[in-house]
Amino acid sequence: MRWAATTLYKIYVRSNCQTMVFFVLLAISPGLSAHGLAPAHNVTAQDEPDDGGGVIQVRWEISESGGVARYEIIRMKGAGATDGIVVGVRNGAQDSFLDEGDEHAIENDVDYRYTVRAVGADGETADSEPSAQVRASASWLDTTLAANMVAVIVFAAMFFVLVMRGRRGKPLYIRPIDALEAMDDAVGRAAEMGRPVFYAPGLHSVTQPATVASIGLLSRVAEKSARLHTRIMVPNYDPLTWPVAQEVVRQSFIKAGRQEEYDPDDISYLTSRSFTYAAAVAGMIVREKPATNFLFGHFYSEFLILAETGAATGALQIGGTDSTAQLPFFITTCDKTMIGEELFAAAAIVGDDPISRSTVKAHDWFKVALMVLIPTGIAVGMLADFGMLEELLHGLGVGDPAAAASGIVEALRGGR
Amino acid sequence: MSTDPYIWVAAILTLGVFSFLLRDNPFFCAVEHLLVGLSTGYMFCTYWHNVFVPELVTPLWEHGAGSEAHLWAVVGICFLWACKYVESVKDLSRLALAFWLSIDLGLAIPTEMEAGVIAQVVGTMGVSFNGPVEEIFGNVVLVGGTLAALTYFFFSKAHKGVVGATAKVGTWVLMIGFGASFSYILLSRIALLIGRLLFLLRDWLGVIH
Repeated sequence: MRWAATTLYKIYVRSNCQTMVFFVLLAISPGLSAHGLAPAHNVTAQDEPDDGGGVIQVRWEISESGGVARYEIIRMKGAGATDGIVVGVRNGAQDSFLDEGDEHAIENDVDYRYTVRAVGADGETADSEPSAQVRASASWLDTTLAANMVAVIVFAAMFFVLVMRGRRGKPLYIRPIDALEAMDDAVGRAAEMGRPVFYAPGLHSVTQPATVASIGLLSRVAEKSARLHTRIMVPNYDPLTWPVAQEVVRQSFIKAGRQEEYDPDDISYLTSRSFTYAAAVAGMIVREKPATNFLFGHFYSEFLILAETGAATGALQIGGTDSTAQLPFFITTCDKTMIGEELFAAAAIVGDDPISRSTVKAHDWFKVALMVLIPTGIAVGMLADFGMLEELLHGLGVGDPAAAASGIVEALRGGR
Repeated sequence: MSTDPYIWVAAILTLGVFSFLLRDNPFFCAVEHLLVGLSTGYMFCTYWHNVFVPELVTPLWEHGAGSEAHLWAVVGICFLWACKYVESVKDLSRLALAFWLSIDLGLAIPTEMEAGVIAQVVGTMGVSFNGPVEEIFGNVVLVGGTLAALTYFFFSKAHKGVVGATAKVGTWVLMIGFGASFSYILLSRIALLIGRLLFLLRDWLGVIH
């Protein structure tokens, strides 16, 4: 009604019959004040795409009258229902609400309708017309992750091709990794000094890539230690990595024919608090004085305490991690370091089977694909910057080159 | 000086940990064992009260045989895991481990691909060379450094010739990045040290305000 009043006022100011319009305004003014709040209109509701269901997006056009303190979003279950529950509140300037069913869950494949109730500062209310029926449903595919899916499929295809090649006996070359080659000598050093070998498998769970790689390397170190009659100590942070480490070391001792020398107490669980783990390990290193410390896996800020203590005792240290924040500390405190992916490659080389080596090869092929994709994307972006992308697309016969160019730039710089 | 007994306990334990800087000693050893015992006990209680009882025991107790199927599956996995301690059937515990590993790794793949690959590639492709000179220079370093670092992590070729030279550039890029990261993190560690010193000097001894 406020727009009507504004329009009449303009007529009043501009017209030659101001007295008459004044009386018209005066006559309708009680009505304007009594029915001053207009409802929201064009309320629409639609299922939120690319999700597991149970979410509905509600939109509306805000009240033309203004003066709305808040909007109450009311959900009605069933096609003919007129009563509903308030599922959300928005302020007077907002025009959408994502109903995620926080307090009252939305059932999938059930009809719902929505009404938006405008509430004025004085408590006056005005309900909108209800939206059309809507159903929430679960999506089979999250299309926002399409690039992700394509990348996984491409990587998997590369992996399988390389595994087939490896199984046919085609040699798969992997360049030497310094830290890996130094591992056997480091165990030999411990054997010569008559001191134990110390192995920390990191702080991540055994399901994380760095820990999986670390466990792979542990088998190599444990087997070498067993062959050289050298004690190996593996203090664990994660309670589920602990039994895995125990089993790997036990198998390595069996493989080396030294099963009787395996001591399960040397593969221990300490604690799952990082700095407490660091304090305990630092104490162990100082008391047991291992000749060699292997530090492979994912570590956090406690790493420097471990490595600095090891360095202070004169131990040879070989480490590797995928934690970019901790790599500087590995490089400064370890004699040899595996940087990031070198850790995974080393674990694959230790495995020395076609599947493990194919994994590294597949990574390499994938990297080559990325090294081609990145400059290509940049070149396309530059064409767009200099206004040449539309011309190119037009020359290629694209129907709507402007929209296509806009979409490409959006994909490059604003999304996936 | 503080009269709060908790402050005193915390201060004595802090000094116990600091005493390791001199050498290993019985005081540090006692504090270390106390910390390990406390943290493990605390973790056990946390899992017991926040996970095991409310998520598994209570629902099973309330609904009995009519409980949701996945809860019984969890019970089965728990028993498989416990088989580890019975010599004759201990290999069954591997089933529980295999189940858990496969689920966790399967969930990790899309996350890793999204955060570790797609986001990085899109971020690198999205740079613009249509701006001020310093921005263009920064973007050239970013793209060139990324490609050189990727070459360093290429394992299928020996680092010789062009590949070797590019990998060498990649090594420099990595080392410069690590250097910057090192100094940044070192500052945060100093802030932690200042925090402990403040605790000792202000909260405990009260010699500064």
